[in-house]
Amino acid sequence: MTFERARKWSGIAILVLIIGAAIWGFGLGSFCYFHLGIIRLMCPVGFVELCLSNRTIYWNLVPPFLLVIGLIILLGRMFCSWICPVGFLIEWSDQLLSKILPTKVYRWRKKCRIILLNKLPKLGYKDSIAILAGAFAGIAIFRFPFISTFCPIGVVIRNTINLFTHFQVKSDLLLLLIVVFAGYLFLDGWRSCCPVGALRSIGATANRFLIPTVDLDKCNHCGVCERVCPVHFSLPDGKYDARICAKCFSCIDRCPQKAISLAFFSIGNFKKPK
Amino acid sequence: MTRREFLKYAGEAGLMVAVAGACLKLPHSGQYVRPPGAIPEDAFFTKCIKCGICVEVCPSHALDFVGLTTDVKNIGTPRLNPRYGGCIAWKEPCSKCMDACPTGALKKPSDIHHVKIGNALIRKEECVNCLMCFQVCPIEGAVRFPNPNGKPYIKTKDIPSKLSDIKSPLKPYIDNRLCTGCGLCAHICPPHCIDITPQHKKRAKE
Repeated sequence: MTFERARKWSGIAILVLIIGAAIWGFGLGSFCYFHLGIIRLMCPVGFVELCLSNRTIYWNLVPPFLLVIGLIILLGRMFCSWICPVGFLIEWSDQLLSKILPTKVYRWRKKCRIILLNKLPKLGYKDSIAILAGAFAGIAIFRFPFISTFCPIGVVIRNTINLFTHFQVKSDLLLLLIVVFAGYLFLDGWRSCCPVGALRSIGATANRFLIPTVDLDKCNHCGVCERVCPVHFSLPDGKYDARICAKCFSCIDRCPQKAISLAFFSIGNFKKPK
Repeated sequence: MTRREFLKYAGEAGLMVAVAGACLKLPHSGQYVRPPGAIPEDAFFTKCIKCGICVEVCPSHALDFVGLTTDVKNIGTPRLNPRYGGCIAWKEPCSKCMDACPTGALKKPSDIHHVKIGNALIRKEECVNCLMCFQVCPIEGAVRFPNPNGKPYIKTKDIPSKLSDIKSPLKPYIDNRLCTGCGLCAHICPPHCIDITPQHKKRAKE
């Protein structure tokens, strides 16, 4: 099974899990807090928000928070491409659009983004950290955890819950448009503007596991890996940044020479980002 | 880091602080019936992180989310909506939303009968005297029927059928000292003539 198929099935499983939780009510919520036996997981953004807005530390939520931080160091930003429902929503709607829209219109949409990106100042990793820090400062000053209002995962899952318990969606689904538009302005797409992803990228700085590595003897520099990568890392040139890589492993699937393999532990091909 | 870069990052961070402040400054008139055990309204929005777990676990599906309003601080927070159901916490020992809340925005009270989440009001002109509200009310004596000569009736079987005729000018009313605001009557009411208004205070136990 290729990674792409595995990821598709992971997305379907997450969708089924969210809908099942909404129908049978086993308290999954919008991935803020997860409780199964002794395993407890806490959304890191939610935890920081909660501590800042109440100006105390929630000691009972510290162990689940640390567990998630540990998982981020171990797995990097795997959450973003294997679990995040908004990631799947955007990916699947993009695939659907490419099928139903005429090719000309679909390409024009991509051209628009490039024109927009050239006109506006380029926003990247550091900007997302600045935005996240500003948001946390705002939360601490005004005591209002506003990231959770605009959190794309929250908006999508809240509406899914409402759809399956009350058979209607709420108008706050419109907030998703703000997030999708903000994602368009970023060099690396929505993955780096999302606060949940931005906080994960800080933890993923320490990530040295599950890294796609190129066998330069087999590589013929065809550039496929750069094209299929959602954030366009050119792996044979040594451009790889664990803080932004969402570990979708499309590069491994698509490489025509089968030159890319998954290294369990690697400190080799790290270069300082610009 | 150059000066230009620093200004850019500071501007971005400042923008987010401004967004947080602007969200709270928008004009609004939002008042919501919260699930039982909710902490006071001025602290509720600092603790609720809109995870939606309470809405999910509610066995009577009585909770829903506040939609898009100018009251930004309450978007996505849970509220009791009698259109979908009423809270059964006063009827049977249910504390699922309070147990599931990870942040302490909903706290389990020592005695649920001291909790009051709202007031109910029957719009008399629309009432058809079906007396369904008597059937579902978990608190004895909260729904009353006026008695022209004596104490108001608190049980359906005591009410003379000629008084509770559909055309009768006498209609049931709710004693808001006893009402908990659970919304069960408003949910079942066939002409939908019962309104629940939020009120957050300690309730005197009967």
